[in-house]
Amino acid sequence: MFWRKRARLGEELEHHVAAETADNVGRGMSPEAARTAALRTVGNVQSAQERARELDPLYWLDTLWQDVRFACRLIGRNRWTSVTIVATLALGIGLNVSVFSLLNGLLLRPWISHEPETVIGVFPRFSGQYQLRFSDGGKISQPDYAFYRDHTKTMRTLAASRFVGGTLSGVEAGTIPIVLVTCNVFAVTGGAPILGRHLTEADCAKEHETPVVVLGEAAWRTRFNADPQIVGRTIYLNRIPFAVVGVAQSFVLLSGSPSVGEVYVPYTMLSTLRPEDDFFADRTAHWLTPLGRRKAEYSLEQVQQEMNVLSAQVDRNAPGRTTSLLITDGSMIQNPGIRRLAPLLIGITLGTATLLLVLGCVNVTTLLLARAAARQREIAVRLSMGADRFRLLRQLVTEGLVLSTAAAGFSFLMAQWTPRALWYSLLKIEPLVDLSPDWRVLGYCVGVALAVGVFASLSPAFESLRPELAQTLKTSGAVTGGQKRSRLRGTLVAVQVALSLLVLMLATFFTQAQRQIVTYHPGFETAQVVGVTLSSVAAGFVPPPSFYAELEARVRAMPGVVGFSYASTAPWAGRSSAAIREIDGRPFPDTRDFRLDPANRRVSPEFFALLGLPMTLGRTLTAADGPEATVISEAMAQRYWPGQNPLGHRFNDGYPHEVVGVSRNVHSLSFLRDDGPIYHSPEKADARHRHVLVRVSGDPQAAAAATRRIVLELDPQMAVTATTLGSLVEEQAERMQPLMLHATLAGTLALVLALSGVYSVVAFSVRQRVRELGIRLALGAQRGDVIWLVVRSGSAPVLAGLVAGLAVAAALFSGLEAILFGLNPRDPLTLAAVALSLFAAALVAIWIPARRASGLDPVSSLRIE
Amino acid sequence: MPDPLPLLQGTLDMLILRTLILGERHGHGIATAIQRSSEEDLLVDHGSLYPALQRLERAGLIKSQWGTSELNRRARFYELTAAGRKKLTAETSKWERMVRAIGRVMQEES
Repeated sequence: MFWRKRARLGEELEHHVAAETADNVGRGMSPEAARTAALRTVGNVQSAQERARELDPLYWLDTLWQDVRFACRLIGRNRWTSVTIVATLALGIGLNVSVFSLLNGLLLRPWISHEPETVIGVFPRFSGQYQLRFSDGGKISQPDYAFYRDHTKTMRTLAASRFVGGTLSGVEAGTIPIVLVTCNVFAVTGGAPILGRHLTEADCAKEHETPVVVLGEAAWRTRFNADPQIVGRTIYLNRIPFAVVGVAQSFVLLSGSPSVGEVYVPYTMLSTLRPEDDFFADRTAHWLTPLGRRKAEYSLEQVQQEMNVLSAQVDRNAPGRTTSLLITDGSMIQNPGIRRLAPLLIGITLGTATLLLVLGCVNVTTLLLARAAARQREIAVRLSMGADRFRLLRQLVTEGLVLSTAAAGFSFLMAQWTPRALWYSLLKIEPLVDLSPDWRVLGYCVGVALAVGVFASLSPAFESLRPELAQTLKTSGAVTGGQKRSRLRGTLVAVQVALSLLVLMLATFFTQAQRQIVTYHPGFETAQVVGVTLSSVAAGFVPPPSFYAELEARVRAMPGVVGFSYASTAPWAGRSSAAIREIDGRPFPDTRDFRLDPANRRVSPEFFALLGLPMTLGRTLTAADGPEATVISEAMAQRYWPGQNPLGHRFNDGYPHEVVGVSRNVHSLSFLRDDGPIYHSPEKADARHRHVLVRVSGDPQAAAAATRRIVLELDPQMAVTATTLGSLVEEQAERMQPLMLHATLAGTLALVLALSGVYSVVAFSVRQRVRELGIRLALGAQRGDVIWLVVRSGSAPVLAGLVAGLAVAAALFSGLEAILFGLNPRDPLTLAAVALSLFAAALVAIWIPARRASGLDPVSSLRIE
Repeated sequence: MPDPLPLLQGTLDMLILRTLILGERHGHGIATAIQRSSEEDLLVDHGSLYPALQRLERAGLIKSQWGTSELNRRARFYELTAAGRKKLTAETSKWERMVRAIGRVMQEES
């Protein structure tokens, strides 16, 4: 379209010339003279066209294409620099886009990959005073569910689920996640069964009647070895026989934890599986998590409106209750529980990736600065000849954009497979959700590329256009560092140093955390201790009275066994607590928060000796003690009887307790964290013990296997797991390993980027100051003086960067305490150590070009023109 | 005869609008008309004429169309729009005010 306009103007001017020529001939000139005179009056047609064109708004589109062509030529000329720039940017943008793609798959898209647009998340909330028999937050009752399901017009399918832990007995014994589901749930999750069939409505027809189970794909592969004959076999869930009718493709329900290896059972089997949960049709028991799909012709808002109406109707049967159902698009980030954590997760992952990207950008800016300085002469000449400043700026920025677009192309390729690799390296399992990039990721990639291109080239562009023409032309390109120029370079260095300090600190903390775990001593014996969990008992099974007596006798008879104890909670496997009601006869206020209540554990008297728990006051429990004898921890003594001797004092948590001993503070509840107040009291005589601890003098692994065999001999249907405590510690360390690896990689990358940035800036400024330094040397300066000069000017911004980085670290890292297992992120020793090492490394990077500068031959450097 | 004067800054637009009040003209015709009306006292820079015409057209004060000129060639003809007429009236009164004011100052007894 633009060419047409140009042609049109040309034609118009041609006519003008022709008319003027005719006039001139009329005035008596010869035809040739007439035309020459006419051309002269019109002036340079070209420049007239040019000026007229400039007024056209579409002009810049045409010149943009020119700029791009010119930029490509320039890039081809400086091949090495360009390749470095594109590589740096590709890595930085690629990492950033990959992390975003990971977060996109996890948070912004529903986890169900089949037709994700129609998936609906339903989050119930209740208010008011109403009768409530059972609730564990955000769930609805079965009659309410049936009402919604039968009356909805906007939803294609409304299903519900409930996650319960259960036990699997037989060959592959142990705990297994069981999900109670309405039989239409597979219509929501989509896909076809791998083997056999899905659940049908007939399976959910009546309570108790259809013990069938559909295995999840992951469970089928890991627990049942992908047995192709599994359909039709019977497995025992909670010691009850269930017939396997099919294997379903892997999917992740919005409700339960994304545990791998679930099995699906009709929800009508609730009270069969868990006799204590006999509230299937009870309106006042909230136990189902809804999940659904909307009909394509209805929007999310319409579903929300319908649900508001239906929930009001349902509330009429529950006086005093107000139900509000939040309808979401099924993505994790809309889940109210996840929403709170999302900013932290995004901040750490995307934040680190962005930090690295900014570091890379700053390096690229330095490279572009150097290149711009080399072209200073050319730009100065063009400016002096009247080139439009804005036009030149645009051209320089276009160069940056071309480079960043090329990098973005590579990055998008990277984003095809990097998210999966990231996930796998961190969690060591196949991704549970689809992590491939979609339009959102593409948009983000383009946006980042634009921002990076403009950011990286803007400051060099501004620098190039400064009106110091005369000076530039005189010194023929070697611009002596003016005040403003070196300040920009200094700022760049400071920013790089600050950013890399932050990333290095993160890396250091994760390394420290990992090291802490490997050399971890929780305060009690772990290496020779076997922990046995009787999951069936935990799930509600009551073993015959002789079971425990037999078990203890047989285990003690094993060679090498030196200790045997029961415990109500195993080490690092949960915390139970009770509110204190009275202390020494005086009532104690309710804390209303179970986290503030002291933890408790019921144990056999041998518990303390078995684990080697040291005591500070009094004695441990003995077999002769009554049910009131209790050992409290130091922290508990400190809290409730500060400054006193707690022995002999009493307290009441629903049962009376008398303090007979004080134990040292250890880490028996969670890793790397002190237990706080905790008390141990004797197990009840007829207790159904869930956990057994066995201490052996020989190989603990063999002892674990032998103990497990003994339990299965006594009761083949018992779901039992036996592990050594030492292996639990190793498992934790292994889990931290990939995190530490990633953090170290990031830290190294940041360090390399920052140091190379410092080096290139100092080398560049030395080159600029070649004349000045040569003069100094010629006037008698020593080599040492020159080195000192360069080092001093080079390290000033480094110091500034360190200070800034430390300040930001102190501010930001306070929120990280939770994830760093109690390590203090503001530990001054660590901060100082990291800062000092970074400074030392930077000094080396400065010293190298400084030394080279001092070796300059003054005569030749003065001659450099 | 003394050399013709170059135009005062910013008056070209006004002169173009005035010239078009008598009917449509092409670019060359506008330039010649201005020079003729001023009895050759004003010199129009033909090069800056066309940018001015584009400017006026973009501002909606004149509109153009192709036609055949007296030389039997294709040429672009310009004519005033209603907005252009209004603008001309405004510019004219401003100009007359300016001329009167300057004249008063120049005639002041020192």
